Amino acid sequence: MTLEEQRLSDMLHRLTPEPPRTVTVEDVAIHLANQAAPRHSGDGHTAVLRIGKRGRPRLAPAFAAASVIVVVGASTGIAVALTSSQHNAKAPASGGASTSATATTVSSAPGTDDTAPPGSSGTHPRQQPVPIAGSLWGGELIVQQSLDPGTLVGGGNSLYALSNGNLIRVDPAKGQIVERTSVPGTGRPVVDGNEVWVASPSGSGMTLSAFNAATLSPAGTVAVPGSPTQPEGALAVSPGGDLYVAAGSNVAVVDPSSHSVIQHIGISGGGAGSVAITPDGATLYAGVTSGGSFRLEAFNAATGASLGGSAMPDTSNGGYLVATDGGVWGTTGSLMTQRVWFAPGGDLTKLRTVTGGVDGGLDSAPTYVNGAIWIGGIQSLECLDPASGKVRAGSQIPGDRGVPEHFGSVAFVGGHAYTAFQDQHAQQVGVAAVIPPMACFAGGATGS
Amino acid sequence: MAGGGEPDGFRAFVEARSSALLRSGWLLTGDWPSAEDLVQTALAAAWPRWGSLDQAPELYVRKIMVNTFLRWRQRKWNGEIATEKLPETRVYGDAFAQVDSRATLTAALDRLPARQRAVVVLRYFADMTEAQTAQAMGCSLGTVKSHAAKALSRLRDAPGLAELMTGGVAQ
Repeated sequence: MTLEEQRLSDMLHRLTPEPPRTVTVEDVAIHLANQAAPRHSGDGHTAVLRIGKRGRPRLAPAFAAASVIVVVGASTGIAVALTSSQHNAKAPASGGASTSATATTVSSAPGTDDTAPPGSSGTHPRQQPVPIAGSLWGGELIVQQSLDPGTLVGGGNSLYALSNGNLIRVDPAKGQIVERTSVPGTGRPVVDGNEVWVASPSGSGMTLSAFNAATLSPAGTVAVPGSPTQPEGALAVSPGGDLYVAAGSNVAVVDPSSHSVIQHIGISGGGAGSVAITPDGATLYAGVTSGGSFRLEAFNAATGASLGGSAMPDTSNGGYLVATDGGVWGTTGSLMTQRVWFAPGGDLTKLRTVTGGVDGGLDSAPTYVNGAIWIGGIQSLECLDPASGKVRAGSQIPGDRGVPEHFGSVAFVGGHAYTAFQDQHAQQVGVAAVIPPMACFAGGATGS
Repeated sequence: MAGGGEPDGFRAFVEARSSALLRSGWLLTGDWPSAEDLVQTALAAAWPRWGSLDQAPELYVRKIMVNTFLRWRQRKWNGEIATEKLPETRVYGDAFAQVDSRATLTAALDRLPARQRAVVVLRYFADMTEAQTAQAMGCSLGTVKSHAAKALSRLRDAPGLAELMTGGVAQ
C-alpha cells in the first residue's frame, strides 16, 4: 500500500463507529423466514408460522423456513402468523409502460414482515395491535412491514407507502396491507384524487407512474423531459390537483386528468431536485442544487414567473420540501446526520434549524398534515406550528433497551394519526397508530 | 447441524464477525438500518450453503454483501447527498460535533460510484487483498486497481477528508 492508501485505511478503521447492536443468528433466522414466506403464499393453501412456540411449522417444506422456526422460537418468543390465499387481482390495461404489472391483494399483521413480491398474496383476519416499547403517544403497531423511510402518506381511508420496491395500501381500520404492486420509484408517493403517483428517474428525465388509489392497478405513466434526479421530494401536488415534478433543468406541471405535461418552468443555474407548493397553491418552491450550494427558488405557480430565491451556502442538497403559510421546511445532511430546517417566508437567509429531526435520516423528513408540521426521527417526535415554526408539543423518543426507536412520516386517516415505526431491538417495523397531544392541533389550518 | 437446521459453525461466525460486517455495511450504505439489512441478507444467503463454504466463509459473505449493495444502488438512489458544512450548529452543539468527522467521511464516500465505494470498503477497511477484492466483486485485478485509483482521486477532492486522513480524530 502507498502512504495515501495506508492513511485512508487508518482513517476508515478509526472513524467507522461500532454498531449500536449486532446481528444475531435469530435475526438471520427471521430474515430467512420472511424470505421463505412468499414462496409459499399464493399456492392456494393456508400456512401458519408460529414462532415462539416449539413445534413444526405447517408450511410446505423449505429449508430456510423449516430450520428457522426452531431457532427463532427457542430464543426470541416472537409470534408470527402468515396466512395466504390466492387472490391476485389482474391489473386493467392502461396507457403507460406499466400495463404488465399486477396489483396484488395481500395483508400483513403485527409480527409479520411480509415482503411478498408482486404476484403473491394473502389475507388473514385482523390482528390485535401490538404495544410498542415506551408507548410514545400511546403508540401501537398495527401493521408490521418494512417501509422505505419518509414514504408513508395518508389518502382517503388508506395509508400508502413504498416498501422494498412495492407500493402498498394499508387499511388502518383493519390493520392490514390490502393492496400491493411493484413500482419503480423510491420517493414519497402523492395521493391525488383517485390515483397515487410515484416519481422515478429515467434516462432523459423523470417518469411519473399513476396507480388506482383503491386497487393499485397501473393507471398510466407520464414522461417528464429534463434530467433525472433523486425521487425523494421530487413530486408535489397543488391544492387544485396539478402535479409538480422536479426534473433537473425544469419543473414540470402535470395535469393528472389527461396524464400530460402542461407546463415547463425552466430552472437555470443548477438542477431542481425537490419541489413544494404553498397551501394556497400560489407559490411553487424548487430546491436547486449547483456545485456545493443549495438554492430555494420561488415561482408564481400559475405563470411560472420567477419570484426570486435565496441560497444555503456550503450545502449541496435540500430535500423533502414542505411549504406552509409561514415558509418552507426541508431536510439536509446525509442519512444519520440529517436535520430539518425552516426558512421563514421561503428565505434561506433567515434559516433556522429545527430542534427535532437530528440523526433520523429520512424518517425525520417533515410532513404537513392536520394543521401541523410533524417531525420524527430517533430523538424526538414533534408537532410544530406551520406558520411560526415553534414547537407545539414534542416527546423524547424512548430507546428500547438502549437501541433507538424510529418514528417518522406522520400521516392522518379519518382523524387518526399514524407513523412509520421501527424498533430494531424488538424486531418491529411498520405502521404505528399514535395519539398526538392535544396541543398539536391548536388552531392550525389543514395541511395537504 | 445443530439447533434445528442451524449449520455447524454458523452461530460462532455470526457472533464473532457480525460487528465487523456491520461496520463494513455502514461504510457501504451510510446508515445502520441499511447495514443491518445488508448483513442479514448476506448471512441468510450464506446459511443454506454454509456446509459447502470450505475455508473462506467471510469472503463469501462479503461477496454477497457487495453484490447486494450494488443491486440496491442500481435499483434506487441511496439517500441524500451529504453536506460539507452544517447550516447551523449552535442548537445542537456537542451532539453535532460528535458526528462531524463521520459526516465528513460518509459525505466523501457518497461521492463515489457504487463500485468504487465497494472497493474502498473491501480493500482499505476489510483489509482484503486486491485478489480477494476482485474475487468478491467478480471482476479482474486490473479493474480493482482502476476503481481504487479513481476512488482515491475523488476522495482527494472531498472537503475535509484530507485533514481526517492526516490525523483528524472522531470524537
